[in-house]
Amino acid sequence: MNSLDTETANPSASRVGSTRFPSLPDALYWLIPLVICFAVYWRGLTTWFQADDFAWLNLLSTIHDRHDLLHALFAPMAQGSIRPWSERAFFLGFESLFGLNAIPFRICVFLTQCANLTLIAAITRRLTGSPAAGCCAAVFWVANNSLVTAMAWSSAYNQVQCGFFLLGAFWFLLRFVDSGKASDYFWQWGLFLLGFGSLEVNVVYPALAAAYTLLLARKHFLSTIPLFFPSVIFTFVDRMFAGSEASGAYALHFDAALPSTLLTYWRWALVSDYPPSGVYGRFEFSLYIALSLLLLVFVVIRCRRGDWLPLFCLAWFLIVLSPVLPLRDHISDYYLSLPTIGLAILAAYAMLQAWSRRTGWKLLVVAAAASYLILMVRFDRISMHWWHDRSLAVQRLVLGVARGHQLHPDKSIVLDGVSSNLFWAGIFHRPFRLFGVNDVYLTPGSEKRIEAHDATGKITDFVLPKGVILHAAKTDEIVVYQVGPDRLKAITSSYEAAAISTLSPDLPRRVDALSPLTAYLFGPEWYPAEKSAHWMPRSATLRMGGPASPGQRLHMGGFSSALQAAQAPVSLRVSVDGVRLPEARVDLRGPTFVVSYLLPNELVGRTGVLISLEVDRTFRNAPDVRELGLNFSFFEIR
Amino acid sequence: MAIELARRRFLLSALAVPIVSCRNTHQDLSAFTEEEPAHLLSAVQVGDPHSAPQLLSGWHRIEADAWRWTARKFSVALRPPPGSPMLGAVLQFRFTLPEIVIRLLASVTLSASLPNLQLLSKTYDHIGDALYAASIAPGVLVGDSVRVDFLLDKAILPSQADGRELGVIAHSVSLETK
Repeated sequence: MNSLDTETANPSASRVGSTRFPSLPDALYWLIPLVICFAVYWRGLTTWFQADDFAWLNLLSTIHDRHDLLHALFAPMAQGSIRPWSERAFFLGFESLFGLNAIPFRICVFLTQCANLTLIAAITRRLTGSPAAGCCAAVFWVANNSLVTAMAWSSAYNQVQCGFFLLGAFWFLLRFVDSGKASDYFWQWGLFLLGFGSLEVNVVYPALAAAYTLLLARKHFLSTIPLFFPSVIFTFVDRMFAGSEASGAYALHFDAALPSTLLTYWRWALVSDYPPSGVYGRFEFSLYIALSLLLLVFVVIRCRRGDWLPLFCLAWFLIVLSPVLPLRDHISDYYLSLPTIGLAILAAYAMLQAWSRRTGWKLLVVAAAASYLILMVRFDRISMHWWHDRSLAVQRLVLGVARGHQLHPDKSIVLDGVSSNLFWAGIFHRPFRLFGVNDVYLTPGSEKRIEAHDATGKITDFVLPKGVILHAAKTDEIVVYQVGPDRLKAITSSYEAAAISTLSPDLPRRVDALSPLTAYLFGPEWYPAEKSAHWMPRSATLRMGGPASPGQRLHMGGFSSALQAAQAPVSLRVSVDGVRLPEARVDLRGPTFVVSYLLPNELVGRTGVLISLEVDRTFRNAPDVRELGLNFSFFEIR
Repeated sequence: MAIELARRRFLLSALAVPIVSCRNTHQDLSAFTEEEPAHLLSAVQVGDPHSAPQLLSGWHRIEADAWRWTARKFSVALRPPPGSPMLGAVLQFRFTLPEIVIRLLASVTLSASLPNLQLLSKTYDHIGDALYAASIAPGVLVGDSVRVDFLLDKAILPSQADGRELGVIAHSVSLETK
């Protein structure tokens, strides 16, 4: 028997049997949330890729055989996360089928979200016995600002997909409670286990199931206990791969900041976090207080009357939010996507209860709901606009660079006029690799126009030093494009002419060893730079700018090969302008290496220094007959 | 059975059509950049087919996707690089002297000239890669293009085995601002 037909049979429904919203055709109750979803987020259907999307899109090019595929699907990546369905398979599958056409990705997000809205409506119907409450819960949830990121950005699909598994599993738990059928119980298990491939938050499902059965279906409580075992195992495995960062955005902080973080999320769940500070005025604050009071008082009153459903809804919010609460330095609105489901059901249930009270109560809840929806939808649309426009700007940039490479395949591309948004949503993630373009740089001075996020990355890694761009201009190795509102505009001639008359030929203090534009700084001993390798033989030299102030260090880094990793560290002897630096042992066991030397003060102020490198051991990597020393990617004095 | 097969084919087609039509494998990207008016290059890889318009005379076909034999006389059009009218430039010609040239000719002397300016001559008598470099004073390079004429004092004459006059194996010619 379908549990939608069991409304009068379930305890909650029987409690609210006398409270009914005006009746609408049943189909409308299902359709309204979906229509609102498309009305509010329609721009999300046409957003392009941005930011982390490019890391996932680049995965496809790394797959050459079954082993690569398994690695791409299941190897820990990005803070050690393993999300094979919502990130790896999602991007690999759609990119294989549709290339860089973003629309199919977006349609998949929307369809999953439609399934989520239908599940929320169905679950709320089952919990409250009211189709209208189901419709309201889905509408409250879909309007919440926390969904904007998930609806606009393909990399946040994990929130939507994990929502589907959580809601699906919970829906089958409710069916199991009603029917007692083993098939429903196992469907719950299946969806719950699949959810681990979607998002780590899935570990909280057993707590949700336990909380529900404890409060509302106690005789089934024991059946939820086995669900905890997969969560414990997953948590152990996840912690093993992800490790625990001691510092940085993803460090966990179990300290006095937890209540403050919780309050921030609570506020964002009720009123948008998007309004700029000037607009975030008394109205929003009053609404925040009013909604908080209404919901909390409702929970208390219902609990005192022995109705535990509101308490369960509140518990949903806290339980699903709990994994991200210790991320004190990474409070993100989209972390609220799944916790707010609990608040949406709570609000819908509160409306349903108020509907059976006096007119004053009805007016109060309608006013509160309308205020919430108007505020949320307003900022949903503003922020969707922002995400959408930013993605299209990234698209114009990426496809413009691809076009530039088509026309000038032997030249490096230099971009002028790049904004903060374009840099952090596009260039920083090296989207051009999707088109086989590696040599894309920013003009000197670009770093002054781009907001710094040192914890995320260094802008200067992308900026060409003045001396290098001057040399490249003289040798006709670059094309320069200015980022315009509609397309990239080639300004090579004028930029080069200006560069030659204004830039000084200073040697750079940072040398990208893989760039063809810095080849003139390397001595003739070096092997030619390749896409991800610049090998020296036993000894080699390069020129670069000297230290600007006392105490500066020479940092050098590169990649180690599998053959080197198995051997003892290599001894590296370095001298700078003939001054011998202490010998260093280079540990090549990891995929990359970095060594650094304190530079003598006598070198300070020299416009250029000659760096001589010598290793004590070389190797050959058959069939390559070259004698290989170390593979460098950068040199920097700072 | 036939109806079932036809139905399966229809369903497969219904799935395949949107997938194929959504793939943007050959997207026209021309609208995404606004290019400068076409101009000559300052550096020419003679093995690049796109360089052909600048190789004016005395160049044989591309071989091994990388190089061309020259004749005894050969010419190229180059764009004076930015700043070169004011700062002067260096003409660089990279080539290879194969064993057969040295065996038959012992040595070759290469000279180059610009309109109204004779550049230095240099003699080569070793097998292998070689570089001809000549300095051009400020004020010589003007306009959007300059013709550079190269001349070898001797070359391998056409034979029954190869009907071409063969000078050296050329890789690149460039003008670089000093």
